[in-house]
Amino acid sequence: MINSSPPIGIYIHIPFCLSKCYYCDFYSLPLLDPIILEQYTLSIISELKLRKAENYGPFASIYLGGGTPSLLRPTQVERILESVFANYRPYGEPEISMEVNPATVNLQDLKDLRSIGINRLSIGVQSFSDAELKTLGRIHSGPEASEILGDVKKAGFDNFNIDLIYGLPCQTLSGWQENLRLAVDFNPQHISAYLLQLDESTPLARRINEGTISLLDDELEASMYYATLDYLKGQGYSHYEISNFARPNYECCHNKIYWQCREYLGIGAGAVSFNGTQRILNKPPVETYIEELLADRPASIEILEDMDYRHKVADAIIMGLRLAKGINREEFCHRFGIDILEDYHDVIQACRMQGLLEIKNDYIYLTKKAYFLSNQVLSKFIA
Amino acid sequence: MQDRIRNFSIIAHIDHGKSTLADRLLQITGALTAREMREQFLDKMDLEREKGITIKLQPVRLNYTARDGKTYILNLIDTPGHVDFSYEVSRSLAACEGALLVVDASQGIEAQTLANVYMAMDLNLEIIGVVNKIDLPGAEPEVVKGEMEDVLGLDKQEIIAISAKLGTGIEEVLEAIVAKIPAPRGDEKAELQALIFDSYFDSYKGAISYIRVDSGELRKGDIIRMMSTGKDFEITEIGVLSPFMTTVESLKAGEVGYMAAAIKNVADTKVGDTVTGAARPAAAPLEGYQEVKPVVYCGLYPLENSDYEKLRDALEKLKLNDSSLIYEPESSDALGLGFRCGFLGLLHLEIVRERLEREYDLTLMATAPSVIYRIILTDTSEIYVRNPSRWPDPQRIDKVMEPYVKASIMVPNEYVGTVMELCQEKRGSFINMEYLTPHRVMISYNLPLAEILVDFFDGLKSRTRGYASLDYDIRGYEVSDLVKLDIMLNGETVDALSSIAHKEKAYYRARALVERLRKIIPRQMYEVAIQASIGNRVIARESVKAMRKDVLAKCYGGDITRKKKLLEKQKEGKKRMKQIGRVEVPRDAFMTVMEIDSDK
Repeated sequence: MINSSPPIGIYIHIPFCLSKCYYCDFYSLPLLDPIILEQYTLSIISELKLRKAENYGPFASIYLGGGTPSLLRPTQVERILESVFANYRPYGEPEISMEVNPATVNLQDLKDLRSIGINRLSIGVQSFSDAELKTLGRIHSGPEASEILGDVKKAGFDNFNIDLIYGLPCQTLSGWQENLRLAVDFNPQHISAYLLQLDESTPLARRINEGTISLLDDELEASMYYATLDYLKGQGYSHYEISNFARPNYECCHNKIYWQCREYLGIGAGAVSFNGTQRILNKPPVETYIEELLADRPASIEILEDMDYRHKVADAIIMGLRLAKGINREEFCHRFGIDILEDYHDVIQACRMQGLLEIKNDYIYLTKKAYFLSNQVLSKFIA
Repeated sequence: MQDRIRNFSIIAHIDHGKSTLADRLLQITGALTAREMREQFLDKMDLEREKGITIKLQPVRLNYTARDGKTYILNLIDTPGHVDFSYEVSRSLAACEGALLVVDASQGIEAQTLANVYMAMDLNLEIIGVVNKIDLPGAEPEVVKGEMEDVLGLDKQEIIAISAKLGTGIEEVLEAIVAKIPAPRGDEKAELQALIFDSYFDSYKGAISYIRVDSGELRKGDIIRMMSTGKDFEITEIGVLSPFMTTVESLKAGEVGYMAAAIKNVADTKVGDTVTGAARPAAAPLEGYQEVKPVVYCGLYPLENSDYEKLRDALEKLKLNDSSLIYEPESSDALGLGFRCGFLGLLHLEIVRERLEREYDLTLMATAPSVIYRIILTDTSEIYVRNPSRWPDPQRIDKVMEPYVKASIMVPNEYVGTVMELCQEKRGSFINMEYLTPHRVMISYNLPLAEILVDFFDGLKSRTRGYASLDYDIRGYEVSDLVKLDIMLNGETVDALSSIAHKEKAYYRARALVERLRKIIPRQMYEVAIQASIGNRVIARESVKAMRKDVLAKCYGGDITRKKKLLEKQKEGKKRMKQIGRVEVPRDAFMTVMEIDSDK
């Protein structure tokens, strides 16, 4: 082997939104000032250059996430991608994904994105119901979402994801199933279906605390989840992570890097990098970030985690079990030098007794029943 | 020498400003520099400072130069202000010649204060009346003075009005102590007789005892004898608290201080014991205190079974300065090895539990408190039951008796109706009612102790907007229609959750109990059935549905740290659970058996 270091993912964070969604707790600012967007683009390019020195391995993916990366002009995205390729070595043909908010792009934008090398889109549809979208504070409508999905295909994208949220206040099982059907009608290669889970700080959580609206009960949420599993399986999607579904060969390469506990380089204000030992945050706010990077100084950072061996092992288990395939015993042994079945014998046995874990062909994985109860399993492995 | 000594205590209801007055006395007499001063200085326990209550102040020696130009030694020996600790009052008062009675100028006299003042009067102590908090907007010092005159027979003209907070009137208090409280009159030449009125364990010096020398003299190096056990010890250190420990060469008749004698065994320094000289022993001990008996029992169990020994050591040490604490080993099917502990009341229980957890780094589970039931069996033998799980088979029971108290409730007259209603609900029977002043009434009821223990005081306070005060005396046993209520989790009886209920209230109690347990037992992997039964008859049932959701839907690069913290928290939470059979029960669940009545 010429290069032994496994491939990494490059994540580029665009922390701007037209307006903040009611359920979102990510770092983002409501903003659409073209000057700041341009300054931010330049800062990203500057950071990409500066961090070349950190000697990460070759990249198998680039992921532009947010916030709303589709607020950038395609030409800005193009310059960012050029900078990535100029400073980092690709591994094979990288997956280059971008998140798209249906309210922020038109057909021409999509065509442009396709032509500059974006080969995968993730469309933040969330729901096709106007009422549900309003509850979430999304700025697009159901018909707009459908229109954009049509445009995505017209623009020639043959790999795109639809993000959906279930467990919304007032949502019914059949309402959710209808959303799923509408999504599948567009024949996406990938679907992410997320249970609505709210951080205390979000406006929606406040409304729930005030009692003006309420979340669904656990039983209904669980039936929505398992209905999703069954329905999408029938439609030819494999369930490969707790909340993710894909056609064969279309699993998201970038996200699998997270779940396999591989390294990733996080670029932009609020982005997190993982160098195998530490998780490092580029500290917000955006203003400071821009100021630093435009002066060619590295962004201020905060080390979120500095892990010893024991924590690394636990991390790999906690993340790895999110994947339906689970953890391969031999691979794990190769990577960490331990036999997981021996070192975690008691915990694994206890979970098996409860019907939460299964072992087959040297893979340890969550049972179907365990997906929606996975914290019960994962918390046992916490170091 | 002795005519320059004054030994006094402070009698005050909780919140009537005792600690603040003590702070002022320390400041004015110069016992503390401004740098050393902090609020509630003599409240030794963090717990006391946190709760803003004083259970008991540390004794302190003050030097005060009076207006007559002479310098006096004033020894403050405190009395506790809470009903749970009234036994301690007697032992503090016995070491004094006088007492300050501190009454809040807006609250007036409270039932508990009254009981303590009567005790002081019985011991022929000189009482100095003090009305505190005269700076507050609602203060009515003249009304309260009148009340003190009417109820206690103090001379209204001689009652001192002060504001301990602002420092108003503190000098007058000090002058009154000097002028009115008699000096001790012990014979310095006689045989040594010193009263141990408190003690605690110091890991370096061994047991430290606070003493009041009645007669004779105590010197460092003396061989002393504990009169109750006859054991001899050599004094390694004696001193006074001013307020910090200061060693002295001797303590003579009338003086108050501390002694250390390398006493390793906690049981060898009994509070209330008399210390005498081994070479020239006194003929008889000082009049001892009446031994107080705990009225409420509960089981204390370490969450980790391996902490059992640690808990035993901790109880032993704690008992040294809390002679009222009683414990004996017991075991529970559900909770393992632990101790059945006896307390003077619920506050006492709570304080002991918290001290064990904090000072000895233990995590404990407490079972529901129980009184001591007296049961006559069909074979005419008699047993006492302190632990509901030891309740005999109903077939063998002839009759059950439970302890009753005479409760004295002092309340403004507009609340008489609501107080009587509460007492009726609590199975009380009316004894009498007395007007202390035109507006203040003393109501007496005969009540089961078990009813008072639970939430009676809270109920009283909330129904009277905080104006009622309560004192009670244990009267004896009365026959009662009681049954044992068992709790089953998934069909298995959990002995630590059993409780005793009055038959008429048993159904309601069972309903409330299963309902409460349903709320606090978290969802588990499978459904948990909660049943309440009397004998073999199930009278209430609830179930905790199986857990259906426990998932982190999203977990991506930027977010992994935070999501892991959630899992860590979850793992921590598990540590506060006790595994009983297949069911995980929060460790606080065992206390809830008593809390349910408050949810009404």
